[in-house]
Amino acid sequence: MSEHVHRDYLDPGVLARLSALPLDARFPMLGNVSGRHRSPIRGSSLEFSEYRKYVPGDDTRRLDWRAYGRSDRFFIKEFEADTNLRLCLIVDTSGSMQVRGGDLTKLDYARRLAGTLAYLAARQGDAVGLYCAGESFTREIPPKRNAAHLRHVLDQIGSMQATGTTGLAQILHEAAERVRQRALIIIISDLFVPPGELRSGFQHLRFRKHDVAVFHLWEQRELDFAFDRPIRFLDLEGGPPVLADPTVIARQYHRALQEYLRELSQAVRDSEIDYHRVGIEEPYDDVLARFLLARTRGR
Amino acid sequence: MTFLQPILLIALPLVALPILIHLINRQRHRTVVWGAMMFLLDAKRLTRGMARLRHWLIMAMRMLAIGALVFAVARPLASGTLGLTLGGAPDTTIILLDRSASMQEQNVQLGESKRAAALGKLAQLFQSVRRTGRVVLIDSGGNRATAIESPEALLQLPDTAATDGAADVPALLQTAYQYCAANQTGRTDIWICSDLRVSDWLPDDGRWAALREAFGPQEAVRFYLLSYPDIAPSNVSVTVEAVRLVTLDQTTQLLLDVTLRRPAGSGERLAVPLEFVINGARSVATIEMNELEYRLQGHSLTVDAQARSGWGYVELPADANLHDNRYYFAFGDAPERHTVIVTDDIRQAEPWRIAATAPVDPAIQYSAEVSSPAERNSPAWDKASLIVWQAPLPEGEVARQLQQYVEQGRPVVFFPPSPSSTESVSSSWNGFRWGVWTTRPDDEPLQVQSWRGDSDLLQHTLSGAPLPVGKLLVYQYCTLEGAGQPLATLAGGACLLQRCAMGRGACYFCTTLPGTGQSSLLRDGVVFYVMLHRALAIGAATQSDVDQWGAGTSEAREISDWPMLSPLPPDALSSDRALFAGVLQKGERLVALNRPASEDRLDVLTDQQVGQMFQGLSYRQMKEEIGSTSALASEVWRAFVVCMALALVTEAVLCLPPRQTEADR
Repeated sequence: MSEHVHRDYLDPGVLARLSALPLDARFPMLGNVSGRHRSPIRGSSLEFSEYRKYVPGDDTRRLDWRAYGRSDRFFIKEFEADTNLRLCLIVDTSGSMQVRGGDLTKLDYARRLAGTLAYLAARQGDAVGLYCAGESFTREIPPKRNAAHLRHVLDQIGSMQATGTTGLAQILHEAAERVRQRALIIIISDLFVPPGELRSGFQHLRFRKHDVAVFHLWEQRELDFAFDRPIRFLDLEGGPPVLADPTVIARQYHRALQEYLRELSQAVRDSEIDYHRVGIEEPYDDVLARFLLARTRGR
Repeated sequence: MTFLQPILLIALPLVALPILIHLINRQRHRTVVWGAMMFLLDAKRLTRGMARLRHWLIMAMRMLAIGALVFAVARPLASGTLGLTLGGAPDTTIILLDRSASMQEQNVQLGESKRAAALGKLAQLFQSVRRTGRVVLIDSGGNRATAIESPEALLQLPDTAATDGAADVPALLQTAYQYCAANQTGRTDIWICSDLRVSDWLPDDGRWAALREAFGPQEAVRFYLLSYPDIAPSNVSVTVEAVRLVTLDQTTQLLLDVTLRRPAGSGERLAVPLEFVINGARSVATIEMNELEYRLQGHSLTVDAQARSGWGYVELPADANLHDNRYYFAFGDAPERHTVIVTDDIRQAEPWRIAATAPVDPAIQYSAEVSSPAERNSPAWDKASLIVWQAPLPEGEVARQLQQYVEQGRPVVFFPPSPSSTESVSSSWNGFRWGVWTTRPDDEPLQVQSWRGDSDLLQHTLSGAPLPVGKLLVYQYCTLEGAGQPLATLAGGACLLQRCAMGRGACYFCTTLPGTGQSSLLRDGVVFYVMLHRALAIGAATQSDVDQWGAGTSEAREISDWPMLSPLPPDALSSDRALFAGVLQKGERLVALNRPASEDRLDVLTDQQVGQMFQGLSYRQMKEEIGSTSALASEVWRAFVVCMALALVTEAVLCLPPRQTEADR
């Protein structure tokens, strides 16, 4: 099956340019192999951490003999432990992701973001997992770090279909329970869910010590709502169509939108979510570059 | 409301254009796949209420603007204050025109009369609204319906010219109703042009109830009262009350009783030069008027001793109403007032003889003769002005001759046969039959309960004082069988005096005798004397060679083919000469026609009276003044243009985007 999936959402040029930027976690990760990410456990990396007094049982190889020579006391020299990262990509595949802006639908855009991030993570030795979120999990690939797994993930990204209603709020809770070890969870969605429901999902993920990042996808018309005649709005998630005169309801639409964005901003701020509002008309490589650079600086 | 360009009202459906555009816009919708339905549904929910009302208002303003524009270009016409002819043009317009003498009252500065002003207004109305239905004129002169071809004709028709007659408005309305019923006129406007004089409208007349009942069910009939109720305070009218020709000391003199009247509110002293013209000879007497009414009694003018008859007039200088400034009269030797008393008891005839020969006017000779019923067809009947019949009712040839006598206009007063009469009282005459005598105790005589004081033998005096009929005492009365018009009724309902019209005249039945055993007629005297002499005067009037009638009355119409001695108004038809003041002659007989006395009554209907007369009918009253320049209908397109502008401004304000709040930004 994988042979039939086109990976046109992966641009080698973009991959080459972004390869220079590491994908870092904002918080220490607990990996099972050595990697380039901080771990809460002291390890044997080159990064000095601290001195502490020798207690029986400590590895004598870690004794700092120079310190002993100066102070006639035994000190153990500790270093940071570097470990690998678990990257969990949660991609919204509800019907609303079919919305097209320019040449791409939101789902196309999500493919590009997810595929590129998966590639970059695998390339730096991190494990990559994929969760497709419709009304429930439609696909669930736990993070692994081998090359074959990456191909499988990329194949699944390429074959995602946007359909049905969204159950993102519940899915976030389920993801928090299923991803047991600390991970970098990147959510790519239009987030058309009441912010109150999202807030609890975000907090659940943060409670599990996950580093959560959100790419909130927008199509520009959804923000502007600048129509000049009556429109029949087809609900991509299966609801009944709505005939409305935008000149009549524009003011109320913008008011509802502003209220949503305000509540969402409050939710992501309270939950320490790495939130990125993304217009799907923007080049995705710029979005990713900003995302990666911000994380590098924050390290 | 009517329109000068009603054809343009075809565009009125354009009012629905905003709705149409709205519906087309709704049909022209695009289909957009949409993800952010949660905001859309929220917005739809929030737009209910004020926002929706705002958009309905915008729609209404657009429709109103188009409607006002269409109305404006159709050039609507309406009365400024009356909402004239709301609901469209009528199929038939009937004009009831009061052509009475009082309608000739004019604005002295403008020289325009009430009648001309009303006609001018109506002509202007019909010209401006370009009515397509029938226009029918019913004037008070002819009281017949005449179709009018063009509005301009209203001002030129002989049927709309001034007359010296009175107007009978109920009769005009009856004619209008008959016209409506006969022609099935559909929606009908009835315009009544009048000065609302009580004497013309007769608010107490029984015909009003019938008219209300007739017009009540006809919802398509609307009445418009174009009224000129104001009375010119400076107007003075003249009336000749009586003319007598007397010969004193070899000179023949004419004695005139003249009355001048002016309306209330004109109390200042006024010197009126009164001109008398008799057989072409003029004389002037200046009258100083201090009161509202001035009576010039027995003004004597010397006339040719050889002239035993003639005519003339009394004239005032020109004032607000030219039609009450001249009063014609005719004079001649007064005929002897001869009374024939037929009685079965000649001894009892004395009271009648004395009363009948006691002169009311010393210039007139009075005589009486007494005969018995047995003297059939007395030759004296031919010259009798009055027959008093106190005997069993006549039968046979005598009855026929007596009926002929009454039908010629001369009265007969019947009294019952004496209670002691031995002759049969069972005879009847024209359905009347004397019954039995009823006797009251001496201490309980009957009194008159009611009597007619407005007309006929028991009418109030000229000064308005009632006759002392109520003081009469009746001790015996004879019952009477037969239908007539009661003139006096005793307590208990028995009739004392009854009138029965026959031909041109009438006979009277008095159910008691003047003797002291039967009543106090003779003892009190006044009622008995006045009653007899009024009956004598009625009979004498038919015998006189001169007479004085009201213009436009039925008597005047009967002699309308007589030659007219006085000049006819230039705009009058000779066939209508009965409608105008003047003197007509046929052979030795002279008749002076003048405006009826009722035209000098200045009472005007109150709004309450008008409301009562038209109760239950659709009517509007327009009180106008002579010289008023306001049209009955005027173009009101400007109002619609303003309305359209206001609607557009309101629509623009409603369409303004709402002011952005800080939160919106």
